[in-house]
Amino acid sequence: MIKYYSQGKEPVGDTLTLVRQVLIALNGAFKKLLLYPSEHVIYQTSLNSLKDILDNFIDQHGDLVFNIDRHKILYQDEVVIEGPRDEENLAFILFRDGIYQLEFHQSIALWEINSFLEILQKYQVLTEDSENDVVTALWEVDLPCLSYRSEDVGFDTSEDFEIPESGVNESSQDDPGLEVEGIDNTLLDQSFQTPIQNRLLWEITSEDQEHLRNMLVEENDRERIEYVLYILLYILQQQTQPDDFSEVMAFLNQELQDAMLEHKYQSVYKTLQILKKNIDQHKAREHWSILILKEFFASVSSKTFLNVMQDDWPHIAECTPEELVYLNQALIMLNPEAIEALAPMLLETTSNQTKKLLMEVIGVLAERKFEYLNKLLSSTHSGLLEILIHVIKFMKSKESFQCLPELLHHESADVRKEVLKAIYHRNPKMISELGRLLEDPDEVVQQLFLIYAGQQRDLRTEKLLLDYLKNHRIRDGNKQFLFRVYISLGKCGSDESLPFLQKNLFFLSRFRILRSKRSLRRQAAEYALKEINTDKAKLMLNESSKR
Amino acid sequence: MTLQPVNDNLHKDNLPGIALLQEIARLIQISQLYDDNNKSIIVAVHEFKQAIQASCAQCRQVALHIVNGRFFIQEEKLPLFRKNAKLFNHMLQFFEKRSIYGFHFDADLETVATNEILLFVRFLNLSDKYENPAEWLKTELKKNDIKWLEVIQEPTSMLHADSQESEFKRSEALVRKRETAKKAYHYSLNSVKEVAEKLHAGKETSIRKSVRMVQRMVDIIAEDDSAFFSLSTIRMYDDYTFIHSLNVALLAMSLGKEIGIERKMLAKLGLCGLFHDLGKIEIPKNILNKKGKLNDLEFSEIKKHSINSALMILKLKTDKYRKVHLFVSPFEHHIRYDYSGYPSVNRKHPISLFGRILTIVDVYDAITSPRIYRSTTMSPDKALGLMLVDSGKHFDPVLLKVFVNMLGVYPAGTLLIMDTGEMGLVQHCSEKSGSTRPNVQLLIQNDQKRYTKGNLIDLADRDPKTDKFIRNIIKTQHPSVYGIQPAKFLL
Repeated sequence: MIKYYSQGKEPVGDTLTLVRQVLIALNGAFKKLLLYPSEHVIYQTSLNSLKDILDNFIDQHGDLVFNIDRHKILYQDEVVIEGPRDEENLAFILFRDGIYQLEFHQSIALWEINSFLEILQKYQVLTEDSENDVVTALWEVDLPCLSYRSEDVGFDTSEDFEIPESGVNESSQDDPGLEVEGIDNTLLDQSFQTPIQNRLLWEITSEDQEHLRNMLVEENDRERIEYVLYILLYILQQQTQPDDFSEVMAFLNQELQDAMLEHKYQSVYKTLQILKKNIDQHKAREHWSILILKEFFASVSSKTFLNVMQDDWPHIAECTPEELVYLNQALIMLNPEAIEALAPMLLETTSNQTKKLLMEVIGVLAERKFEYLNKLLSSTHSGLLEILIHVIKFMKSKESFQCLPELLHHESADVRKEVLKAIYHRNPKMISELGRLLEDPDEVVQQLFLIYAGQQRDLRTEKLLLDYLKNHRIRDGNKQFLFRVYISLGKCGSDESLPFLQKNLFFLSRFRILRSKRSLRRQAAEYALKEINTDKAKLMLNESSKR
Repeated sequence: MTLQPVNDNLHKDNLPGIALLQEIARLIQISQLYDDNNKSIIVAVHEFKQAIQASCAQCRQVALHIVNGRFFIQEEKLPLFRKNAKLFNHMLQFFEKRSIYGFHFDADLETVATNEILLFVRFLNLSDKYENPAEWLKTELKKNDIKWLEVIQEPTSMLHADSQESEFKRSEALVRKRETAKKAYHYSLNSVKEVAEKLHAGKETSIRKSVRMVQRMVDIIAEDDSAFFSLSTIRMYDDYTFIHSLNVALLAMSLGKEIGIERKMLAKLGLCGLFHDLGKIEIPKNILNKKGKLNDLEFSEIKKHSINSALMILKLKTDKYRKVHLFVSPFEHHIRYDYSGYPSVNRKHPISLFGRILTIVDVYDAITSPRIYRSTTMSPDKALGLMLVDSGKHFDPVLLKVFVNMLGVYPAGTLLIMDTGEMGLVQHCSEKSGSTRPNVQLLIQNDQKRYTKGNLIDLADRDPKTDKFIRNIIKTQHPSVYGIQPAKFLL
């Protein structure tokens, strides 16, 4: 429980009242930040209120300087608040990290106060392993209108540092025969002949100054990721212990993720390529590194890793074609399980180029192992499924083909259409086995089927269509369908169909009256004959025209 | 004159200044009663030393003045309470009788022998027998080479004190800065040791303390890096790798500041310096400290250390972004500017700025450090000369120039032998003539063959009659040749 000291106690009454208000507001805002995210309205309200109170004080009294003593905050030697000795108490947190004075200066901005509170929140609890504390964090943000004084706490002060009395090497001689790693010892004598007094050797010229300026700019602009990956691979190659190897791989994993984010696909590709080579090289010997490398590839193929690309597709689409080629090559090197992460991204990208890239990658990965794509086929919604079926269309594996017929039962006509396209693309002869599509509820699917059916002469398709026509009565109202079936029959058919077509042409009614030339069936048969276009078919057509 | 016994109760809750006065009084009193080996005398000398130390929060000197019948310590008037009135009156009378208006004591009397302090006290007692006691005392002190105190013979007016105030404050601030720097040095050394030891033991380790100290050092360097130049001359066998790492960090940050690297990056550079040799903890000591030439196998072990340093940094418990900044330059620090070093890497990747900085400061500190495995050490100026020969080959030529300019032709801690026969340590560049004729802390060898501080002189000073330089350098040497630890004299 934080205790705010009563007004009557202090000698500087009004000022202290204002100070107390500031601290109450500060504490309040801190508590809110512990409960709500920083953008939450409740925290923002208390932050604004704190800023107003603080501004009010500074306007009247100038900079506000607090002293911190263990669990108390003091203003001009007066204890203003006193709280428990735990992390609920601002004073405790500040004092724990060595801050003994805190100053809020004129013109302090809202973002500065917010930064300060966020630091307090982040480092509210300090563990042995914490990599920062309030002081190091404040130093890094370097707030212009908030300053602090701190002592170095947590260091072993049991022994005073004494500069050693003696300069260690009492028997040492000066210079000659010096052997120092990194220095060519034969140059030692020359050093005496090139005395440092030669100003020309070290005087900084205007060119040097210019060079220095550029040096800093170049350093800021330099490509880091590629180099970092290069070094990590270099370090990795030197490792002889599994633990160390894993350590480097773990870091490499994180760096690769950054490289993906920064669209450094060439670097990603080259890195993966080297690691793949490593696997290949060590495979024969069943080296311990194989397992770690495989785990690494499993990791970079996971959703956790690849999700960095999730919302990035608009930017990826802007990459150079060359970089996209590297992205493609890099992704292709992943494990097939990457499909699970990559496939949903097909819906994220609007660029045809990147969509095509993803589809190619998924196709290649699925060829390696179809399982992951297959899983998606049964669970994915139709939009994505259409694209995935399009991917399958261009695949080669038996498995990927075998999954297609089942998908002809999919509720979505668009999906069925894509499946049909895929099947036809991969095995046109299979059309003859898809006769049920003649009964597909969707006209477009029916049409497409008939188009495919008529693409080439095929006895099995011919038989399919003939059987259909013989066994199904197509109503005259469905004229277009009727014509399409006959035309397809003509296109895939042969003289084998002529007896059936002849019957359609010269059909005699019960009263032995020849079917009218205008009858749909006769017209349809004529279309078919035209498409069959054999001598016999032509003869039959000729005869039909006379009768 | 015999002083009245002093009230012991005064001691406990007194201000340090009053305690000092009390200890002086006690010493004067019992030195008349006992000889030098007496236990009470030895205790009194010890208490006196402690009182001096307590009076000088991080200063080099303790000033005891008598002005208008009141005592001042470090220019602060000692409060006159009823309980200390007796002591004040006795001491005022004692000094008045000897026309002594105060003393300036060196703050650090740890190295001053007990008999030397007693000699001073006995001379002080005796001095009232002479016509000009203060002058006599001064002469006797000089004769006996007692340099840790100065006798004030003239009354110091408060006006005078005021006029000296700014100088005094400057000197106080300097002392404080040096103390802060020393503390940061000490803690940084501990922090890097702790990190290395934990890593060696296979434990996870955070670098919070190192980060904190590096930030502290950046702040100090931003203001004035001279104290760190002095501290970077510290040499120790036992902790060589850690001292070297810390020196590299300090010099790297200073060089970084010189070329305009901003503070946050300076802190990262400092951490790179601190951790650049972490990989050496994996190298067997018999190889690290081997006397004589290393065989190929041993050298290949040594060559692994930059890669291992990078690996160790990857093992630190800190966030990935910090690690990325930290591991690259330790990996690079032996590659050399012309890529002729190790590890052998692809030239298409330029060596990072931090890497080029570390290469320079690492070699400089290494070749100016005495090592167990070699009998020779190079003086700092010769080290720079040697490095300049390799400019553009091993070292970035422009950065090396900046480094030389930063340290000066004769870097702090260089031991100079002068044509006057004097010997001294370079303190810093002269305001008059730059780095070729620096300011020098003269060293004097006492009867015990130990070196003590002499005057601080400027090598640019000329003889007004002849207009020739008063002193010229005839030789430079590494201080270790004389077993001298420069930082001990420069700070």
